Amino acid sequence: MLTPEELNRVRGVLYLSGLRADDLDDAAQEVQLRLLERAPTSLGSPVAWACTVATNLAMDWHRRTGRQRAAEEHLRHTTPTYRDDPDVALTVAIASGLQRLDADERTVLVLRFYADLQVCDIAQQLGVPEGTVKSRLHRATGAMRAQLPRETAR
Amino acid sequence: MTDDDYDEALDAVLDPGEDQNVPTHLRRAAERDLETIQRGLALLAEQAHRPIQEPAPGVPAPARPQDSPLPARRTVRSLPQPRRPLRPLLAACIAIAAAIGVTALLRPWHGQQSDVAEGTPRTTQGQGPITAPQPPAGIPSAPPANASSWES
Repeated sequence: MLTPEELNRVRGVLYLSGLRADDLDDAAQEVQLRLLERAPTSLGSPVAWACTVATNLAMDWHRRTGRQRAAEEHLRHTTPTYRDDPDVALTVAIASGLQRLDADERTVLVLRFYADLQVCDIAQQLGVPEGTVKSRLHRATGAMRAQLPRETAR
Repeated sequence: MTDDDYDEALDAVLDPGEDQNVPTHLRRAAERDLETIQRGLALLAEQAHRPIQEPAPGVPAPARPQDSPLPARRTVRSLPQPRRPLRPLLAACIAIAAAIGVTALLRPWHGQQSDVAEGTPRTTQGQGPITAPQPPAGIPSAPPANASSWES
């Protein structure tokens, strides 16, 4: 069973993957349900497994409902408007960058830099070669970097 | 620095096992960007918990679905909402009306019992006409004043 902090991390992964409101709640419950039904075996920590399941659920949700555009709209509308705050400006930039990524790139970025999974673990969990994960991560990072505020970018 | 140089540094940071002959300033720039992205993702992810109000000091936080030991069923939202309790005034009116109705139903029976036992006339709250007293059981009632059979 996940701790409340771990569940919050799973919710964060779902949020960064474009799910909102009731869809996010449903997906979070689905992750917990799958955790109860099938204990993770391939990854060491349950939270890493849960985060991967969360990204898979988010991708399924986008495919099933065809709401990629809606997810992008969600990301756009959740961006705060107070750009004087550097944290808010950064949040805006990250949201803008995420909506420009495709689902695969967004998945590896969130798993690597939010869920804190290693490249080899992401590759194993997603069933793709490590090189694929690296290349997606490289593209995603480059796209995100282009969106960063000037004062925080290099 | 060129984009190619930066990409090389980014690869070196993303994969520490790669080429380590990357200029330090490029590596640091890439590391700083990745840290910024990481921090931005964390900031953005905080909005996933924003609708949940923070409890006041000393007040226990309400249990959230994800805090419960077992996951809530997905059909919770489809369950019918519980009925609202009747408003106190309406409930009081219904109680009063019920009491009046029960009293009205019981009053005739109660009045007959009193008349038989005591032989006293019964009035309707002192406003109705006084009726003749009923004789006790077994004694015929008095004939009308113009009955001839009684006189004979």
